[in-house]
Amino acid sequence: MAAPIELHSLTRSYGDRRGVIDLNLEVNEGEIFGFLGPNGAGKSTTIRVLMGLLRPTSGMARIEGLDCWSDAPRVKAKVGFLPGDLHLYEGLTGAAFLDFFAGFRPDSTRRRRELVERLELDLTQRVKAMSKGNRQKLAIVQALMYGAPVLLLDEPSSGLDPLAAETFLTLLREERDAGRTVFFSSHILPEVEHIADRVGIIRDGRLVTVDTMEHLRSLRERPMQIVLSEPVDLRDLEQLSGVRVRSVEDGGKRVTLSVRGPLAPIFGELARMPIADFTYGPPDLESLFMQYYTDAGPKPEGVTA
Amino acid sequence: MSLVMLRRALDASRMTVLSYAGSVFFYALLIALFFPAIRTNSAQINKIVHTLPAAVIKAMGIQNYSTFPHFMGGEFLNLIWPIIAAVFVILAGSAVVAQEIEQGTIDLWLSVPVSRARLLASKLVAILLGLCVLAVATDLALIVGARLIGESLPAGGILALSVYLVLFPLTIGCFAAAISALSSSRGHAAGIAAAVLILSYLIWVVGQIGESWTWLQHLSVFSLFHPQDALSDAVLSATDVLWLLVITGIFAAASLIAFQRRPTL
Repeated sequence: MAAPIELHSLTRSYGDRRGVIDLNLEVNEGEIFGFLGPNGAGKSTTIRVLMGLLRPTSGMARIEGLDCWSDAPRVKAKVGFLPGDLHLYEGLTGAAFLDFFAGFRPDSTRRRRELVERLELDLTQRVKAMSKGNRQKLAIVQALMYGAPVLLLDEPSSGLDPLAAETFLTLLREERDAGRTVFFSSHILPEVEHIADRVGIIRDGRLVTVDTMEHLRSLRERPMQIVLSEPVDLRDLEQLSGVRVRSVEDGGKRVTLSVRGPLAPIFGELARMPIADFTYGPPDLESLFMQYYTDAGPKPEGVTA
Repeated sequence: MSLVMLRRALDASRMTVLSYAGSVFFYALLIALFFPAIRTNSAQINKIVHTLPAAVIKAMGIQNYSTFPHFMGGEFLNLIWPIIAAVFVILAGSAVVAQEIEQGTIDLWLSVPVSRARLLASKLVAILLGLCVLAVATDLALIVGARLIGESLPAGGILALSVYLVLFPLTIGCFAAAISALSSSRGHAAGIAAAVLILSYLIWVVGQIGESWTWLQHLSVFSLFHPQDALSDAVLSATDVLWLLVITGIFAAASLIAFQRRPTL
């Protein structure tokens, strides 16, 4: 049986502009697949090819065994889609907006009502009067209400407040538990870590790696910023496993580290330093790229370690 | 075609169509109410009009102010009506695809499980139905106007006129839609369609100037538009209708094929 989502040597270029290059990927049934990359990396291009909105320059994109370009209407019948650059029909109310899209598919009234309640969305408002967060919620309801076997979501949590974002992630888990396949893009590493089973990392149009969340967690670094009351010798700190000094500024008083692995030895060293302030940031995408480029293989063009 | 899309397109254009139809109705009625004064002085007016160059008289269709159909043809149907209808269809036709791209709604619009061609065909049908409303509003204004001033119009004339009032602007609308299917800017699509239409009109006018230029008329879609004759003589030229249908069909098919195959949106 064909995988729900397949990309074979997929390339999509826009004349001189790069799109995506030679992507090979399979997403399994009942899996949440995070498609991670910085802005402009090719995430939206990939999703738009999968939706039959762009014709591949070469290679192939398939959903449930159907070619995404030549079989586009049949593919779309199997997909719940949320576009990245979200623009809705401004003049419609939320209810009229959902009615329009529901008209093309089998009845989805019950699921729609449930989603609207859980996301606390007011459907009587006109789209043009809605906040960005509510527009995003409306588009999420639209994508999820059909119970489609495949969900293609481009930056789905963009604009959601933390509470709504948490509800949305719960909804995605439920979709997975119901056997549906979720392919979603993001440039926020913690969000992907939170929900995805596997992750594909794309940069400059090329797929850098496809990995499990466990392995990705072991590789990614978190930034640690230390403000010292006076400069100190950092050699002992640098010698610790999993510690890298990113920058030293302000005459040695402001130090930024990249940290991975156990924290106890680091805190042991830090305890001996005259620390005035301390920040431990969430894992960031750049540090992850550095790990892949330095640990897992050759650097793509234009990347500096 | 998709009925869901057609309903949505009709809903989106409802207010525009109704305002155009209302404007056409009241403008035509107003012009009709002038006719009694013109009729009384028609001999003098005809004399003045015939001092104008023949090409201008023919181009404007103002050869005869003695009868109501000829008066309405010269004052409304030959020039003012096509201008109003052209603005309507060029704006509507140029919006079919390019506006979705411009407004950023194209991805959502095309996410429904219906082919691009069927979605676009639904919008073209909505334009056709909008033109039918405009034609009916025009017919009603003529009938009511004629009744108010004690004139009568042949039923066959109204019917023949309606065919021109729908088919002629539909050709223009489908041309604008074909440009829109290839463009990402509604303004560009509308501009190109308007420029081509004006050029077509100028070619037609130049074709009236002298015998040696007559052949030019056949290059213009305006040579297929004879609302005045249709209304006064209840005559519908099969050649006009056939050509209008063929050209409309070509532009409609071109728009559907271009949009279906367009690789980048």
